[in-house]
Amino acid sequence: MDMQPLEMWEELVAGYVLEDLSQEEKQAFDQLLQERPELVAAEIRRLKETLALTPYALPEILPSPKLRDQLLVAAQQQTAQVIDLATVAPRRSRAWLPWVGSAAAAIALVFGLDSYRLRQELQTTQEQLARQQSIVSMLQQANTRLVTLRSSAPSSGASGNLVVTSTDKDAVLLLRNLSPVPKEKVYRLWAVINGQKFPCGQFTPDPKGTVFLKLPMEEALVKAPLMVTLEPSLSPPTSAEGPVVMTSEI
Amino acid sequence: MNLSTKTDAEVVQALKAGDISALGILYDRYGGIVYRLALKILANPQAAEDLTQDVFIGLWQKRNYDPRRGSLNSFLMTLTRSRAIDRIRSQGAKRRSIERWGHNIEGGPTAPTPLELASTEERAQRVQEAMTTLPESQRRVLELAYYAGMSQSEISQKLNTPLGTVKTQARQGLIKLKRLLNDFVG
Repeated sequence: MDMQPLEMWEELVAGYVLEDLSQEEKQAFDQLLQERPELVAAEIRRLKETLALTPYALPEILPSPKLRDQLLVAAQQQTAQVIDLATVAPRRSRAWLPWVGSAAAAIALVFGLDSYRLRQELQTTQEQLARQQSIVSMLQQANTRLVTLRSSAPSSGASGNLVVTSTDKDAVLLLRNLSPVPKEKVYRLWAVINGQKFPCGQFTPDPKGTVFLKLPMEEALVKAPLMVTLEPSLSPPTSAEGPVVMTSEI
Repeated sequence: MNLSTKTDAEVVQALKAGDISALGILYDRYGGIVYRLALKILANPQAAEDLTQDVFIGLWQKRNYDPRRGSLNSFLMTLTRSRAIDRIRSQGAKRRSIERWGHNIEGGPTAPTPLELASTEERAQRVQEAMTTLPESQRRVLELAYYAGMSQSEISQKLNTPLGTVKTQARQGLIKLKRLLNDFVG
């Protein structure tokens, strides 16, 4: 290689990095690599670093500021998934809901037996109907579980369920009588694993205090205690500093 | 420990230890440029945001970046580019692995370079200056290869230029850029 002009081997390595070597050039490159592996490797690295700098010449357009928070929430959820759930403290298993044949009975169970008015309202729009059907569909599966959530302050009357099946990709959170919150506040749902809170989603209720939220299904949602806290909406999505307003029943 | 003042390698070490704040810091450093590259290739802001999130989630989940193999910038750009081009080529027999420019022959360990010490704005200014000093033909060939994922023969057809000329332009352009950005790439 020492006999080759510098330009020749520089071009060979550039051709390797750009993947445009001819058969002849490949042979020459292989020979060069055998003779001076460290030198070639260093040049490959420099050229790759150079290519990776070219995007800095692109016009500066920024992603949505929300993307950072979304990323951190998604990463936390991934973490919750990979945590070895065998280490979660044993607890009494939740009741398995038997197969439910009647849509009305299903809705009544989810919202509570006194939810006649709520059921009426749910039937008023197509969107609500679709929601209802998805819940019914979930409830009709033999392997449906309900996790009950109750208000931490008995006076508030907030209650609801998390509906989970082993086959659906989504879990559904249904809450009612939750106090409305100002714009700068949100509710956040957490799974508590080994004393650590893992974010599972955030939401605000509609003006009637009702929440319908689809969440990506995670084992932590059925195996770990759940809690709902009230947080400033601008706080990091991993922040659980606010008051606990609901907890799952054990 | 205030991670935000640490080198990329140190922040990555914290990331590998499961510190999610390290992910936030790496996003602050590289989220913008990952998005810019994704947007250039995908030409769709939502798709570019989705890909940006995927790239960082991948970094968090797989924790497979090894500082000894090159800068984090290079790792993220290679990953973003290959995934973006794979997405726009998700159909057809032409699909091929786009991990080119990404396969490695091991280089030596890299200490923090001046690249890491430069702000995004400084990097942008330097790279823009360097790009403008390239002859138009070299810059165009490099951009078609890098952002559109075109092979040299595809570029040759598109520009109606002999293949040998396209190869020379791409190689000379890359070598010239390397020299112009020498202090950044070591």
